[in-house]
Amino acid sequence: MSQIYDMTKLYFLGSMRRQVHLATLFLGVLLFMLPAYINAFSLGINAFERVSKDFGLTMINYFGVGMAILLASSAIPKDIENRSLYPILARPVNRSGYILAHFLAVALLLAMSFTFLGLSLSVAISAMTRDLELAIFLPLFCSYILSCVIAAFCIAVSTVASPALAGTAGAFVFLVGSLPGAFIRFFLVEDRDSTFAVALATGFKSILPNLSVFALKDPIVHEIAFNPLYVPAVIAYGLQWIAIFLLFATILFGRRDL
Amino acid sequence: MMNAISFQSVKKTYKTKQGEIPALDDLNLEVPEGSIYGFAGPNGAGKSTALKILVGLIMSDAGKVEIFGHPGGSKEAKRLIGFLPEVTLYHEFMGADELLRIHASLAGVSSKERAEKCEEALLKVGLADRRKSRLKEFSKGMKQRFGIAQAIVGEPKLLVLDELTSGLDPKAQASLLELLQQLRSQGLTIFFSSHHLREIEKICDSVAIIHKGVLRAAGKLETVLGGEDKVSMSLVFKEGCTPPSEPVVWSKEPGGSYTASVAPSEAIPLLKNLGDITQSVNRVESRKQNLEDLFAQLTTDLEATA
Repeated sequence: MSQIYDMTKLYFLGSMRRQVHLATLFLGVLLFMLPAYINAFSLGINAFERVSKDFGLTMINYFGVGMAILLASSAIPKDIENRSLYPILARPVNRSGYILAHFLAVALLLAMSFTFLGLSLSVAISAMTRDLELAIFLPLFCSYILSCVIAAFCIAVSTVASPALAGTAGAFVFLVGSLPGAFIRFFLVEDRDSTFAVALATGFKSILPNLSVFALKDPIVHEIAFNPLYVPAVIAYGLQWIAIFLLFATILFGRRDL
Repeated sequence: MMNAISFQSVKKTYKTKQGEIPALDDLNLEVPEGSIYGFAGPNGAGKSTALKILVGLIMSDAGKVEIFGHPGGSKEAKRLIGFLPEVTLYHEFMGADELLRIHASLAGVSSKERAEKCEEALLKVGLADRRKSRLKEFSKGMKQRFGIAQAIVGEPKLLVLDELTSGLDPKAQASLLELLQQLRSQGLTIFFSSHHLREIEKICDSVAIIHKGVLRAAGKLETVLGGEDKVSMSLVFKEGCTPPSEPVVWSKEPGGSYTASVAPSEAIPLLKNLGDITQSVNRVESRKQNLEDLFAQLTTDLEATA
């Protein structure tokens, strides 16, 4: 455990050096100004709160996924290119521990970013409504789990592929996995009547994680009731996919000549 | 005395788009405990591949590797090894002491002993006064010294170094070689690869020469060089003349001369056997065979056989 902790620390500090936190800071400032900006254009219709939440949560979700792809797809290839993994893996360290440490470093950085961005949005909305806004943290947490799933997938692919390929594959999984069932039903079946596209989309959706289950934004923004057990179920589902991808990464990386 | 390293019929082939490239072909080598063992060969000879198999970074296709009797790549074997790879970029934003503590933890040093062991390692490599400096502030020679510090911080019994002095100035090279001798005097076995034959000859008590994945010679340096029984004879011919390929193999030197290693008693008969071409010999030089002569001889032999 101590070895994994030390490697996580090493890779976390390494990721911090890539200055992604500057982008997080920029988005945080943007989110802080968002409610006031939207309010200025609401023309007396008092919907700025919902619009701010909807827009802000969507931005954070996409930013988190982008950051997960960027960090996770390049972490291991960069280590191999720099040869900085050689003195580490020549130690009595398991390759699975090495993979896990890289994942935990990315997950930790994502957690910091999500927390900062969530706080920025929450403080900004609370200041406008004069009411403490904490409900947005639930969909944010689900977005965080989704980003971690994508990060685990990118790490798995990056053990045998280039960062560009791993990143593209991660973006593909995010897009296909986030396709709502309604999109396939109405757009591809009823509107286009494209049997091939339906088969393709359904096929991919059945083998890839269903990322649309992490979209908890609408029930929160529009105050739609949902089963309280839904959130723990979604977390368990996300953790299960993370475990599968990390196991896959360990198998691929364990057999690789370095 | 126990063998620190034992390669037994180790084979490795890389599969590329261009086909299969043999990197090691039936490598058999034993490194005695307590020695400084040089592993020589030109670029692409298979040195790094052998070293990576030794430390468990790649798997051999066939054969067996043992480190102090433990299977190569196993946790037990890795606990006994300190490894310095060729041209490693460390996490340069970190301080030397900070990064060394992480390496100490990975090497299995307990948290209580970590500070003390790191201090000792930095002292040994002469970086104790730079413990707080970031690695990006270090010169290349200092980075190599740090590399040795991370390799010895776990108190290994065997130090495996890949091209330690590559790209360093002569002063830094000499200083690192001196450091290796100090570490050996403290009981470490040192196995290091290099294509700088002079530095191997300078500090190693044993040597192995590998070329195109084939081990060409191995053993005590004096034995491999043939002691006083072998001389290196250089012939400088008139332009356009070359010596016959029999009965010895001549290797062409960069200056245009031809060199062969022979026993002193064979030198005169060999010159007599040159026949008519003796008229074309401008100059004959003879001296005790060194590692460079032997290396040139062995690699030429192999090419001639191929």
